[in-house]
Formats: sequence, structure tokens, C-alpha cells
Amino acid sequence: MRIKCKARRWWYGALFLLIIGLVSGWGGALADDGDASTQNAQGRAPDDTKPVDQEAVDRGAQLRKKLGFQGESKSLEEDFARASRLFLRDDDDGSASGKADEPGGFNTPRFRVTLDLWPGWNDRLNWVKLRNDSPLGGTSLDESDMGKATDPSKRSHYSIFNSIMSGYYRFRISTPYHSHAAGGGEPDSKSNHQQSGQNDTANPSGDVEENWNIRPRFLINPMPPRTVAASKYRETGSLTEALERMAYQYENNWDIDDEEFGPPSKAEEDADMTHAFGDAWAFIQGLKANGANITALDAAKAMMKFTYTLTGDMRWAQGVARKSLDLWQGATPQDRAALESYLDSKKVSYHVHPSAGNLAFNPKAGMQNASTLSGYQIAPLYTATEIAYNAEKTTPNDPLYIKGGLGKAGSAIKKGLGFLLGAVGASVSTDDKGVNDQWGLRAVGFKPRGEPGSAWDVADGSQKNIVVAVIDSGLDTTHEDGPQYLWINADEIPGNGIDDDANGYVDDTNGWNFLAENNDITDDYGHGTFVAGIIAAKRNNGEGIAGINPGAQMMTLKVLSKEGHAKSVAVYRAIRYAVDNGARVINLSLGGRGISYLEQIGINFAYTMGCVVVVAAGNEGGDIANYNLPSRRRVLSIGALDVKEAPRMSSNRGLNVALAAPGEEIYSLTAKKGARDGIFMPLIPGDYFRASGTSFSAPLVAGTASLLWARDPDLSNRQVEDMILQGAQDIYSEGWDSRTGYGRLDAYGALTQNPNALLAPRITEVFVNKYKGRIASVDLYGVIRGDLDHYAVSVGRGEKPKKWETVYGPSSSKLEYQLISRIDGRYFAKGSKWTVRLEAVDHNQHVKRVHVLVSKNKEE
Amino acid sequence: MMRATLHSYLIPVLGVFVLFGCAGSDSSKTVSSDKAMQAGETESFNHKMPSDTVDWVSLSTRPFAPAVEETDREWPGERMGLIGPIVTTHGEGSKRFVLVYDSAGVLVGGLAYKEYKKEPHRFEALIKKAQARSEYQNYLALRFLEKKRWTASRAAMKEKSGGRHEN
Repeated sequence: MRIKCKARRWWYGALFLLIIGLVSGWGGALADDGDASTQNAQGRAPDDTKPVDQEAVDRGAQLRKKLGFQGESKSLEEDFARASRLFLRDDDDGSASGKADEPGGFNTPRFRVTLDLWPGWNDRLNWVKLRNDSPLGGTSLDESDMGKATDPSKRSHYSIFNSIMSGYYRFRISTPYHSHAAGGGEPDSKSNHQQSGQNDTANPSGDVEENWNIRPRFLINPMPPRTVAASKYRETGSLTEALERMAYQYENNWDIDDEEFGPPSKAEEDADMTHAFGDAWAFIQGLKANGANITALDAAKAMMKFTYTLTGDMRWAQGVARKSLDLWQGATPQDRAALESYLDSKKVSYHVHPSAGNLAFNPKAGMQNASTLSGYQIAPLYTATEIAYNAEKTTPNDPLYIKGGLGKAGSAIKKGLGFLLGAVGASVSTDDKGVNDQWGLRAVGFKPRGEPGSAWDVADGSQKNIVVAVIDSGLDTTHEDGPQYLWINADEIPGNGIDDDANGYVDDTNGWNFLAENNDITDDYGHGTFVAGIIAAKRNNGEGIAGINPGAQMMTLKVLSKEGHAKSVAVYRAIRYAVDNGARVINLSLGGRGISYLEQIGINFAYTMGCVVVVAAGNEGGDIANYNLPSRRRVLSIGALDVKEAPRMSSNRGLNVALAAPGEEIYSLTAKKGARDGIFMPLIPGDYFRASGTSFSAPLVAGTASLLWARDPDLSNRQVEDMILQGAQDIYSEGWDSRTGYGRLDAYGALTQNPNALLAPRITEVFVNKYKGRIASVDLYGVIRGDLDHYAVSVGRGEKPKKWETVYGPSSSKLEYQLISRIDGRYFAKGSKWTVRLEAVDHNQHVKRVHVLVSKNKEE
Repeated sequence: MMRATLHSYLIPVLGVFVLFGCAGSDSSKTVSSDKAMQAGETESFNHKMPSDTVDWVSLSTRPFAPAVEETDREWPGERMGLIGPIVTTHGEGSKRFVLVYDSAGVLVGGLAYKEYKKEPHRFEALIKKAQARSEYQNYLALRFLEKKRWTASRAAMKEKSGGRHEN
């Protein structure tokens, strides 16, 4: 939709200097006032001796009526002025491209001069000739015959090419309708008529020729918008001014097009706008690529100005500014904060003029009765939580995202019996809970754009972004709703049987199969496809489900056999492969009893190299410390929530649970191959299925982490982890607890965290040191980093201690998975249950507390 | 200086892993995907809400050792995920193999178990090759980290020294 800035129109109007002088007198042609003294300076002296051709006058009157001229006009030239447009265009015909013998001259730009007449005027002209009267003098264009339009019913265009763009253009026309020359055809000797015209064969009627001087309306058109913007940028060094100028140029050119080709259709308007935005963005990128010192904020402000100039819609402009930051490679959260601050300062409100009574004006809504508004300041109209770009204000059109209620007929019929059986096979019927098919996504903030708290408003992942590795059972790459972007190893030539990139894996184009030692990543178990679908299924494709970050590049590493088993060494190798080949988020929905030291080494490497490793907490309902992977250091272990958003019974608990995410009745993709056991695969073939477990909580977090990086690639893995933890919604027990960790994942909360003001302390391990059967000391290990001012450790007896004893601190040392403090055994001499409290304070004096309840007894 | 320090940590770590054939040799250990809960599992599950207490008994306990310091628990090279050659066994009976990987998890070579027993020098050759590869891979990782650290410190300095250009 193009909403033009009306305020600029007057300027064009001022340029509309069509009639400068009348060379020969037509003054009283149709509305003859009979006053000879009114002839203009260039006009010939009135020839009162000639009789008025009443027939011509009548025909002229009829013509005026036919042309739809209403009211009185004083002269035919006035009518002509209304009906004609003269343009200068930069439509170079190519003849100036180095051919010296062409009329334009060597390397001289040539412009098309167009006389445009309203329909019907063609009848009035026998021919048109043009000459240019340059103010520079002596540069007159030879008189050129512009020919005659062939179709009188359409608007007439008389065009020639000219290398001179300044001065006035003199048109000589021949018309059959002349009030003074009654069919004589002989020009008045006192006029400045060109004699060459009178014998022109294009004047068969012998009617009198007239000379009109017309100044082109659009003298400043020749340059394309981007060229104009570049010129402005060179002149001022201001990107904002350059894009503003560019917007004016677009308006200018659109106006010309509208005049020349008629009003645009809606589709044409949309195409124009799309082109303009693309052009402006490309202009900025071009400047940046050429070394211009342009920041993300500069670009956002400039795009905002550009949009507002074009559309007059501040809301749209603000949306585009935010969108620009989303698209800007390397935009930081500080940039976003600065932009929001800038936007706040530019909030649009209804302006109420003192003399306007109750009328209030808003660029979008127009005039309104102020008494109907909730106050004259309507600043909250445009808040940070609003959608980024009006055009994209959409609910995902993926049916399973939209459909409400599990097992509803609509979805079942669409996907067939397999889907239906899948729904029946689900452990909990949630029909009566009003839960949507993809309830898990909505619960953690992936709501339709425009809804309050929608994470997709902050970052939608629609652009191709970072690499996410899913170490699992493979991926069904043929699934039509599967990830849009598979990771591609650019250094590997597929299918040549050579390890082109010398990474030890031959033809590893999209990933690797660590079981078969080949590049066949086909999923024959269903688990990996299900996980990958949650993270990166195609969105807005009208099919199935919506992925969290469809722009993620999916690296598929197959370690699980078709029975669902993997070896530690394969997991280690897959982690290393992911890290060495550029993955930033690694999802491991794997686990089992026992501890593998090798996998810990792999995780350590990933963490050191800046990756986030997300691991499922496990579904054994036991202590997480007994299970491999989720109990490992330097991972985010994710517990599961049920459809009531309470901790799921089977989800493992313990110190290493970082947070929780929905893990029941999760909807995602199924693979075509694999045992149809009704667990991860529907009993009968289908494209989608519903399953439960922490395996499917972890990818919700992995997807969110990938979105954080998609939005700001400069974040460190520590920042990403802490943004997720600090943004979580505290549920279940107050503060950190062993079932939900920091609480329920909140993607919107994570995406809106300030990465420089994070403090999410954790106690990850507690060791008891015994000496001769007594408790000698207790060691606390954990993570305290970020915006830390100081921390302290206290111990109290019981679950809710009334009295705390500070056993360590205050200290300001930051640490990661290291010893926080060794607490003397005497604090644990009495009682069987104690609460250990870690209290950390950030630089803004916000206090974060973590309580861990420890007990001597296993059974309560 | 930093590189020298890191190498001084790294070398003993590499040595340890070579000597013990790395803990990863327990290749028979398997992990399984977290099976989704089925209807049957739901019924058999003990619905008694477990305590949120972090049970003392189930925590790792260890003898009191005042001298145990952080570096003893997790060596710097180990903390960084740097490792030496990985030796694993695969298969059973007559089809048993010994496989050697480098620290990046790339297969360096393998021997049938009989060959491994009869011709230990071939196995040693594989280990040496894997060791050389691992050392270089670890060196690359350390260099990457140094560069990353340097970039981060530059960025921090830039941030301190003043804001960005504002148009």
C-alpha cells in the first residue's frame, strides 16, 4: 500500500510551470473577451480585421464539452495547459553510449521529451514540432517533428530525444481549430512563427500553426532514486538524509508513472513499495560493503525516515526500523535498546491543535474526535511489543499450529488415520483442556505475531541463520514440512567419493551417520525427525506445524540406531563434528544410566568453543545425577512440563536441572521409515505425531537459543544460556527448584533480556566430604558469572529456615562449574535436613537467590 | 605466554589419555534416547510425588581430602575438552576390532583383535599417528581460543574507549 506524503505535492505543483507565454494570440479563442491588450508579450497583434470563424468556435465549444472541461476557461491554451503534461525522462535510447555521430553527441546524456495530451486532443492537432530555447543561448535544438499519435482515443504521447534539459521548450503545433485564422493557413507575419512549418506536408488542412512555450514539468527527474541518494550521501554524509531524498525521488517517479500510465493497481503499488524498500536496503548494504561507517542504529533510523517519507505512517516506519535491526548482521542488544529509546522519543500521539476543538489528528487514523480517545496522548499506540512490520502481522498459517484442541476432527481428517491413531495413542487426552496442537510453542512464548509477549515479534527466524546440530537418529529429509535449510558443507563436493575438506568424513554434505560411517542421515527411528521438526519445521507454508526457528541450518548427526541406542564414542564424535563444522547449538535428547567421561570431554570442548549444549533431563523420574548427559557439567538440562504446565512426574530432578519446558503432547514430524510402535511413530503412516518426554522439551530450548543467536550473532554462549535462564518464568516452587530449575522457558523473556545485565547463579553439584564417618565438609560447585557484584553462601536448618548462618562471603569472584565454597561440617552437625542458600547481587543491587534443600535421608 | 601455559597443562592431559587409552574405551556402554512415556508407563509409574530434596545419600560422596583442589577435580585441558587418542573396541568374538580415533573423533585406523594381540607395534603406530593428529588439533583449538580471547578483549577496549558513530 502506498500512502503518499501529501505535504510534498505542493512542491510539484510549484514546478508545474507549463505555460510561460503565448507566442501567438489565442487569447480570445473560445472565451474571447475581445480585449486585444490582453495578449501576452510574445503574442502577435490581434487581427481584428479578420472575421470570427463561428463554426470553429462552436466546434471548439463542443470539443471542450466532449473533453469534460467544466466551468469557464479563458482560452484554449489554458485548456491545453490543463490537458497536457511535458516530461523530461532519463529514458536514454542508448544512442549516447559512445557514438559521436548520434544526435546526443559523444557521451552526452539524452533525455526523452514527452508531450502528453489528454484523450481527444489528438483530434485537435495536425502535427507537433519542438524546439528548445535554452537560456544559455545558442543551443537551440533543431526543430523536430514529433509525429502524431496514431490512436486518437488514447492519451497522446509525442516524444523525441534531446540532450538539453534546461530552458523552455517551444512547441509548434498545427491545429484545425483556430478562432482567428479562418482556414487561411497562412501564419501572421508579425508572429514569431517558424516559416518552415507553413509548408509542412503534415498540415494538409492548411490550418494555422501556433507556437507555445512550455516548461517541462519535471525538470529534476533524470536520476534514479539510488543515484540521487548516493549524491546526497556524498554531499551530507548523512544516511538518513540520503534515504529521505531517495524516498522523495521515488514519489516523484511514481507520480510521473501515474501521470503517464494512469493510476497504479493495488498489486502495482505493492510491487513499487517492495522494490523501493529493497532498493533502500540494498543502498545501505552497498554503502556498508564499500566501507562506509554505518551502524545498525544508523540503518534503522534511516529506514524509518525512508518509510515515513514514503508512507506517512509512523507506525509502519517504526516497524521497519525494528525489522532493519533484525536483518542487520551483528546488531547488538545495545542497538536495540538504543533504537527503542529513540522510538520512544518519537512516539506518535494524537496532536490536538488548540483551535481545533475536539479534533485530534493522527497520521494513521486521520482526524478523530478527541473526546472518544482515552486522553490526548495516545503514545502507547506504538510500543515495543507491537509487531515489527505490519505486512508480516500474521498468525502462522500452519494448520496444526492454528487448530485448537487435541485430536480435533479437522486435523485428523487432513492427516488421515495415522494421525488419529497417534492422537488416541497419546498418554493423556487433553480434549477438554482447550489445548492447541502446538500448545508447547505457545506456552513458551511462540504466539502469533502481534499478540502480547510473542517471541516471534522480537525475532522470527525467517531468514537463514545459525547452524543447529541435532545429534539423534537422523532426519527424514523428504518430509515436506521438514527443515527448510539443511546445513550444507560448502567445502565438500557431493558424491565424488573424496574427502574434499579433509575433515575425515567423505562426502559429508549435510551431516554424518556415525553408525554406518557414511553420509546417509536417513532417520529410521523417528526420534530425530521429531526433534528437528520442533526446532526448524517450515513455517507459514500452510502445512502441518510451525517450527521455532525455520531459518536454522539443520546439521543432522545420526548416532541412534533403529532400536534407539547409541555408543558413547559416537556421541563424542558427533559433538566434536558439530563443533568443528560450525554448529552453535547442539541438541542432545539422549540419555541413560551411568556416566561417560568421554561425553563430558566432548561437551567441555563444545562449551569452550562457544556452543550451547541442550540436553533432555530424562524420563526416569529419578535423580538426574544418576543419568548420563543430563548430569554433565556445561549443559542445559531441561525438565518436562505437562499440559497443565506443572512438572511432569516422570521428568528427572536434581541440581543440574536448569529449567523446564513443555514435554507432553508435543506435536511434531514423523519419519517415513522406522518401527511404528506408537511411541515416536504413529502405528499407521502419517506425517505428524504427538509424543511426550523431556526429549521434546530440550529442542524448545535449543530452538530458542538459536533464535537468540539469529538475532544477535555476537552473543557468547554464556550470555545465551543466562538470557534463557533469567528470562524463564518462575513456576512450581519459588525461585530455583530441582524439578523446574529456573522455571518455565519463556522465549519472549529470553529475547528481551539485556545481555549485559545477566546474573543467573546456579549450584550444580554438592559433594559431602566424610572423615571417620563424620561430615567433615560440604563442597558447593556451581556457576556465578555475568553482572556480579558479590555473593554469599548461607546455611539454615530445615526446609524453611528461620535463621541463616553465613558460611562464606561476600565474594566477588566469578566462577563456572567450579568450587563456590567448602562449608565446614559443623554447620551440618545437628538435624537431617538443611537448606543451603546462594545469594548473588548484581551491580544494580538486584538479589538472586538459589536455595538447595539437602537431606541425609533418601526417603522422606 | 598464554600459549605456553596452556601447553604445559595440555601435555600431561594428553599423556594421561594416551596411557589409559582414554575413558572413552568403554564403548560397550550405550545411551538410549529418552523414550517418550507411553500409556502403559504412565500406569506403572509411581505417582507419589518425589521430594524436591536433593538427597544427600545419592550425591557423590568422597573421602575427605583437604588437599583436593579444583585442578585435581578437573584439569585445565580436560575442562577445555582437549583429549588425546581414543581407543575403542567393537564387535564380539572373532569379529572383534580395536579402533583408534584422534581427538576430533576421526577414525585413524583399526585392527582385528587378533592382530592387535599378535602385532602390538601396529597398534602403537596407530596410537602415535593419532597422537600427532590430536596434538595438532588441540593446537588449532588453542589458537582459535587465543584469537577469540584477543578479539573479545579488543571489543571490550573499543567499548570502553567510546561509543559508536551516530548518524
